[in-house]
Amino acid sequence: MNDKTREIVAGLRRGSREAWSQLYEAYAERLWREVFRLMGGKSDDVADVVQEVLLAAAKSARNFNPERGSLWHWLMGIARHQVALRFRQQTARLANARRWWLSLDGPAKEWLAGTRDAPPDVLESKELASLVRATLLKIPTHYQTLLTRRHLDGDSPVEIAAQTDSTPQAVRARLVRARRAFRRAFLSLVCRDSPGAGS
Amino acid sequence: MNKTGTDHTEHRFARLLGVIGRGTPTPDPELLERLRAQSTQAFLAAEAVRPTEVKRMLMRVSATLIPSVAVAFLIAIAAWWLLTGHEPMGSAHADLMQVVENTKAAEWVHIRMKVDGQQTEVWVSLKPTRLFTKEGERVEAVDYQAGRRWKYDPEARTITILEMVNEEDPFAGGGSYLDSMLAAFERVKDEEGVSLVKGEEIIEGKKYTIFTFRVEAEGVSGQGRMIIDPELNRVARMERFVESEGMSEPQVIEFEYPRTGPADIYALGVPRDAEIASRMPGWNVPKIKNAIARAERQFAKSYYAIIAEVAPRSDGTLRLSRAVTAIYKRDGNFRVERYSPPWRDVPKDFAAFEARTKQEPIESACFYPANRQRNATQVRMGTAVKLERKKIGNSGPGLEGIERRMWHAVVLHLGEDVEHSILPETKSKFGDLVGVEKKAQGKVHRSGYVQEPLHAIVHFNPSRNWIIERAKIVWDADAAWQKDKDWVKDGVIDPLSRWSKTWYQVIKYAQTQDGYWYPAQIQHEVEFPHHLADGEIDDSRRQSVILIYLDTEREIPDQLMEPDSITPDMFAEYKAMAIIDSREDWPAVPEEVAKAYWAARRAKQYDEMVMLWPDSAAIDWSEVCADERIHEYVFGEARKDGESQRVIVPYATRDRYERDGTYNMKMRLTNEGSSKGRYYIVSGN
Repeated sequence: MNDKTREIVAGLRRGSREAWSQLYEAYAERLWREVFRLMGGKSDDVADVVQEVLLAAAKSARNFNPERGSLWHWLMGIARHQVALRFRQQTARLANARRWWLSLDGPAKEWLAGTRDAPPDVLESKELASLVRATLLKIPTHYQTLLTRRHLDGDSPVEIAAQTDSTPQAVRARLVRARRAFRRAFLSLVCRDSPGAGS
Repeated sequence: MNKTGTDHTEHRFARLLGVIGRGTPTPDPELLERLRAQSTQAFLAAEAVRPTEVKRMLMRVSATLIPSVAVAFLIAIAAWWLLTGHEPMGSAHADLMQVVENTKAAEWVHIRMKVDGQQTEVWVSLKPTRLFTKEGERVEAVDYQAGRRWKYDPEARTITILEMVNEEDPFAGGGSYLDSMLAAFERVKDEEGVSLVKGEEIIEGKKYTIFTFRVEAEGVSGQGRMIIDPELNRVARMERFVESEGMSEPQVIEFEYPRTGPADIYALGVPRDAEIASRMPGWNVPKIKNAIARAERQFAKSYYAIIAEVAPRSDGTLRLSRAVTAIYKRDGNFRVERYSPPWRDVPKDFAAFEARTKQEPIESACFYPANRQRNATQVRMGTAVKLERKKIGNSGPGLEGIERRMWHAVVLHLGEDVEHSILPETKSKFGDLVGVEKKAQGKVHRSGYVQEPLHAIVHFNPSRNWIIERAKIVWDADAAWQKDKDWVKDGVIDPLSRWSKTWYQVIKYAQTQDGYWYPAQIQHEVEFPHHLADGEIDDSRRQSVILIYLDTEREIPDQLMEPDSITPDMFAEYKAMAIIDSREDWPAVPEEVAKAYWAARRAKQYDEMVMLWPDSAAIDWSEVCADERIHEYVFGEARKDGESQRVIVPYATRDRYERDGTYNMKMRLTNEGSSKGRYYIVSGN
C-alpha cells in the first residue's frame, strides 16, 4: 500500500469527505469501465449497478480493513457481487450460451486449447461474450483485474508492475496463473451440464 | 497467427477477452458527477460506530445469566477499553494502555469483591477462557472451550452440568462473545464523555499509580479509580461507582494474578460426593456440529503448524513415512507447503523432532520474494528441500486424509444417504467422549469416481476442543450395510481398493500458547489388501505416528500470505535459471536440449530433468518414471514457434520415424529467462 492509499484509508476511517473524494477520483471511472465490461448490457443497467456499488461502499467505507485487501479489490468485490446478482436474474441467457458452446464442433474448442486458429464466427458471438463475462466473475478478483488490464486495457507487464509495486517478471508469472485460472473456470462453466462433468 | 495455425497464448487471450469490449469505454461525465454527489452524501451519513450497539452490548451483559461477579469483571475490562480507546488522553492513556496489556497477559486473574454484601471471588483465565465464581458455598464454573457449565447448589448438594449448545445462549461461544464485546468498546474510542487523570498516592507506606476516571457515555455514567501495582504494573484494585446502575456506595474490586487457577469446581470446596443432578442432555448431530463449529471459531486466527508422520523401522528407529506439511494461517487464508526434508532419519521422540524443526526451519530453504534481492546464483538447486506443493487460499487448508480429519474435527459431512447414530458417551483418560457412528452407501459418481461404502465410528473429546480422539474408518465394497448390492453395476473396482480399515487414537495432547488443545501425537494404523510377490493378495497392516507442532504466536510475514508470491514453478525456474546460466556446458542448440532431457529421463536423473524443463518441478517425476520404458527417439530440426522467442523441436520414436518418416510429437523450448540465451524446455508431449 503506497502513502497515497494509506492516506485515503486513514481518512475514510475518520469519515473525511476529502478521503472519499480521493477514492472516487481514483477509482470511479475505472469501476464504471469494469462493470460495463462485465455487464455488457444497456448503459442504464451499468449505471444502476455502479450506483449500487458506490452507495454500498460509501456506507461501509469507514470500516474498511486494509488487511483484507486493497481498496480496488474491495470495490471490485462489491461490484462483482452486484453484477453476479444481476446475472442470477439472467440464468436463461447463460444456459443458452452454455448450450451454444456444447453444440460447437471441435475447432472452437481446439482454438481454446491453443491448437488452431480462432473461428471468426465464434469470436463474434454474443454467447461467447456471456461465457467470458461469467468466467471473469468466477475467477479471483485480482486475476480478473490483471487479465483485463493486460488484455483489454493493453497495459504491459512493465506498466502493471510499476503501478502495483511489483516486478515485470512477477506480473508475467501472475498472468500465467490468471490465464490458467480463467481456462479452468471457463471449462468448468461450460462443461457443467455436459456428460461426465463434475469430476 | 503463425504458420502452424496456433495462436500465441497472449494473443489468444487478448482476442478471447476482447469479445467483451477492448479499449477504454468512458462513462457519461454527468453520470459520474451525479454518482459522486450521491455517494459522498451516503458516506458522510454513514456511522462508523453505532452507540446503540455499544449500549446494547452493555445492557446485554447485565441481562445475561452470567453471574453478577463476572458481569462486574466484564464491566471492569470494558471500562478499561472504554478509557484506553480515547486518544486525547495523552500520556495517561499511554500509561494505562501498558497496564491493560500487562493485565491481559496474566495467566489467571483472581478477583475479590462484595456483591450484595456477599463476599465473592472470581478466577478468570482468558487463555483459554475459563471462569470460576464462588459466592459463599455456591460455585459455578464455565469452560467455554469445552462448551460446558457447572453449577453447584450447596443446599441441594447437587451439581448441574450443562452443555452450551444453543447459539442464543449467552454462554455459547463465550470467548468470542467477550471478544466481540471488547471490540465493541474499542470502537467507541471516538466517543465523547470520558475523562482520565493519572496521579500517585501513598497507601500504607507504598507509592501507587492511580488512574481516576469519569465516564459519561450514552446509557453509562459513573466514576472510579484504578490502583496499579507498582511492581507488576497491573491493576491491583478498582473502586467504581456507577451512578447509572443505582449504586449507593462504591464497589471495591481487588485483583491478584496467580500462576494457576482452580482445576475444577472441587478445588473450590464442592464435595466430591455431591450428586450430579442432571447430566448433559442427549447429543444429536446438529448439536455436535454446533459445538464443533464453536470450538473452531475459538481457535487461533493465525497459526503455524508442522505435521509429520513417522513409522517404525524393523530395527526400532523411525523414518518419515511421508512429506512434512507446513501450514500457515492468517486472516482466513491458508498456505500449505509439503516438503521432503533430507533428514529422513527423524529424531526418535516428538520433543527432539520439534527441536530439530526449530533448529532447521523447514521454510528456510523456501524461495521467498525477499530473496529476489539475492544474487540468483547463490540459490542452489535440489540440495535441501523439495517443495512439492503450495496452496494459498481461503477455502480451507486443503489438507487431506488424517490432517483434514484430525485438525479441526471437520468430519461430520452430512448427506441424505448417510446414516448417523449417536453412541453412548465413552470415558477416556481425558474426559467423556461423544461418539458418532456413520454409515454411507457406496456409489459410482457420474465422473466414474467410485465411492465405496463407508462405516466410521468417531469419538470427539468435548473437553479438548472437540478434537477427534479416536476413530475407526472402514471402506468396504462388499459391506453388509450396503443396501443396493449391485451398486457398482458395470464398474470395476480394483482388487487393491476393495476395502481398507483405518484407526486413529490421540496418544498425546498439547496446548497452544493461547490455551487451545490439539493432538500432538496420534497413533495411526491402516490395514489394506496388498499384492504379494507372486501376485496373490494378502492383508497388510502399517503403523505410524502423526506428530503435530502448532504455534499460534509465530509471526506470519505478509509476503508469505501474498497470493501473488512465488509459486513452485517460479521457485524452480529461478533456481534453474541460475544454474543454467552458471554451468560451463549447456546444450548449444534446442535439439540438443531435447535430447539431453530424454537422456536424463532414461537415466532417471530427476534433478537434471527439472533443470532442462524447469516448469516441470511440480511433477513428481520419480512416480511418473517409476515403471517407464523409454523409447529411442529421433529429433527433427528446430523451428520458430510463431513470433515468440520459442522454438519447436519435433520428435518421434525411432520405430515410427523409420516406418512413416514423420515426427508426431513436439517439445517447445525458449531462451527467454536465460541471460546467456540458453534454451530450456517449456512444454512437451
